[in-house]
Amino acid sequence: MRFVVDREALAWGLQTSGRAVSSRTTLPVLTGILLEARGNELIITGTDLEIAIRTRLPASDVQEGAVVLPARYLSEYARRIPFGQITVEVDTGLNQARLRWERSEYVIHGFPAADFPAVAAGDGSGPSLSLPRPLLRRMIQQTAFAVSADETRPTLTGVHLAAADGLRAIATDGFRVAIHRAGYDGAAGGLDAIVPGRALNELARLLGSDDDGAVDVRFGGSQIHFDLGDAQLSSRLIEGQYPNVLDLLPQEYPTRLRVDRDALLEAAERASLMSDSRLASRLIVLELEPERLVITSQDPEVGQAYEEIPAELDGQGLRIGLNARYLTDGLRALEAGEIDLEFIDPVKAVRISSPADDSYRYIVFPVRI
Amino acid sequence: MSQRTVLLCDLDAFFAAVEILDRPELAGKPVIVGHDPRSRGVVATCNYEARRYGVRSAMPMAEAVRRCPHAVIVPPRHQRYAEMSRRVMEIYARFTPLIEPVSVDEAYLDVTGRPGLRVAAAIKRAVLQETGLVVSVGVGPNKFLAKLACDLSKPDGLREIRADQARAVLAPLPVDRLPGIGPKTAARLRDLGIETAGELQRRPLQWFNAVFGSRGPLMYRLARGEDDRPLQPQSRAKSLSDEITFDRDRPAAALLPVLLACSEQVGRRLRQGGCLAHTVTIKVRFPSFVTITRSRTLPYSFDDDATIYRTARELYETHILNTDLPVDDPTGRRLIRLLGVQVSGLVDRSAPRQTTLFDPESRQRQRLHQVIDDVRRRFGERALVRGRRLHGRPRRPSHA
Repeated sequence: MRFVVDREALAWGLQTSGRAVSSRTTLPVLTGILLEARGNELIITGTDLEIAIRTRLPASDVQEGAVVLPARYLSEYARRIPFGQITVEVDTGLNQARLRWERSEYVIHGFPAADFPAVAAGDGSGPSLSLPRPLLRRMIQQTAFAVSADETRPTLTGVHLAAADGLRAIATDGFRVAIHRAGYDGAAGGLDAIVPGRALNELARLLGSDDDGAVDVRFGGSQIHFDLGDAQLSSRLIEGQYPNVLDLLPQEYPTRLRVDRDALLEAAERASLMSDSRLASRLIVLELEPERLVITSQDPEVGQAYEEIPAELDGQGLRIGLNARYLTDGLRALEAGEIDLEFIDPVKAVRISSPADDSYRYIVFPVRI
Repeated sequence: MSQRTVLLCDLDAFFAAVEILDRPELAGKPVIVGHDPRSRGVVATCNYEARRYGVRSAMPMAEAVRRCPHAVIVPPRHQRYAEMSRRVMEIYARFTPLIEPVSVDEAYLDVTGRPGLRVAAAIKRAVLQETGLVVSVGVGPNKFLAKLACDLSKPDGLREIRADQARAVLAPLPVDRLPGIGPKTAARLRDLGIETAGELQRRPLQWFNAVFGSRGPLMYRLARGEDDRPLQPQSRAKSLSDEITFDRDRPAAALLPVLLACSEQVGRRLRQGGCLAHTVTIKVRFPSFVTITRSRTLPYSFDDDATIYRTARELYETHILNTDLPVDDPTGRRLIRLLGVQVSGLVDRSAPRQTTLFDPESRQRQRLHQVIDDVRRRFGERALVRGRRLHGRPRRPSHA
């Protein structure tokens, strides 16, 4: 096995695929990264058995073959090569790679490629769709942060994707619910899958800020695959039935408060500094009045906060406690400008949305005070 | 520290007052709460009518009956007192979140920034109206003076001692009114010719250091009515646990029913205590006496058996069943000597609490738990058993 690659391309490929390599693994081969030289390409795959990231880069002078090399050493090596081409020769019998650049030569010991777990590329048995990058990015940014970290309820650690009047993504940790609905004309029929939040966060990194083109999404077996051209991300889907979140949410919110997002976000962040540190939640108290919103908080040991921002109230005033973090997370997911907070009573859900954008709803559950 | 306003709320003759509340025919009679005078018990509480005959708390029952032969003796019902105590604490919680319960009938409240006497009067009114109990309330710039104000004004007390009055109020009082001065120290001070706090106030700090050692500076300030001990709102029980030591070692794989039984036990005590927990810990001891604990903190508080068991089982499966721990049994089965479940990170149920999407469901579960707890209380532990526990239910050989 042999190939020559550009150092910049190699460093990018190793860094990108390396994000799927777990530092804490009991299987030594999983500390490695799979290199496959094929045609005029080098394919780099890293996996922790939950997600896999595969990158492709142009290679020359290729003799086909595959090997697994320790991800950390290889990546650190490539990062420290300033420019030019790297020549890699692998003795696949000894699983040993010889890396040459200018007048340096490194030998790195690896593992046989056969020991590396097979990463399925999607058997095409499930639905497939093609999503514009900006849509996918927005969908992730607006939902993935709301998944649960509680592994005793595995289904909540993922984002639920379903076909419903287009495409719908829901995430909740039980304390807040993020719902994104995208108009999507392609065939998403039958789509009903729970994608690990971590996979989507990694995908968002891969998406970068590039707005051009689409991402092919395929489902197969118990896997989801995102194909971005030069990089692919595969993830296991979370098994189980996603709770019927929409049925658990209130439909009518009689009180509406219109405020400027930035003003509320900044005030809530400041007030949360004084929230009672003895409580698990960063408690701030919102008081709705006809022409203003008052936010207070207090930590008996630190001090008190009072914030007031202009607001337009339609309905009954009320006083409600919220976890500042859950509120600000949702506010950040919205576009700047005027937003609506809708209320029922001091112990029921609060719905947050933007009057200019019908595609997103964020529902946060209050702190009973 | 800037000027604080601290209240000490102390329910008057609490146990006796609850008994009289439940049996109005006792009103006006001397009432002693305590076990049979023939046993070796002591007086838990007595009302002021009994106190007139010289009966005091912690006095041997036999002595109490000698002093007041016509007193009505009522055996204590601690569960009932705990329930009334919780109702009263819930009233306090409406006035301030900063509460340090000292005992079932006594709590410090921090209402800094508000007019102490007015808040105190409002609390007295609310407690009397909503529970029928009388609470004495002392107001002060610190815990010591609040307590003193309460003691000096009860029964049915309401008094404030301001910082600028402290020295004068304290001066004529015997030294054992100061916290930390018991009969022994008082006797020692008497030997030094000191009987009152006023005499202490005239001594310099060096004198205090010589007499009290490391407690010198503290006592020097207490004698002047100065006390900066903060309220400790979480000074209630920090954890609850249940564990079982088996009479012979048992295979790990067969112990999920025990885990469930322990989870239900701590769940019930959690609910009885009016608490919510944040953390579940399992404890496992192997025949080698190697003991491990594993815990998980959830992002929400809970008091239901299902959450405790689900979390305990997950910890057990991850850390005991599916690991490479050493195996003690020659047949290759992993054996266990002791198994236990603990919950910690306890908070009062009336503290601010994050609501959740799944609340309606948990409210239903809560009702179910109340019914189950009630049935078991009345008809015994075995009256209701989860289907899961019927199969291979373990005996509970010795309760550690």
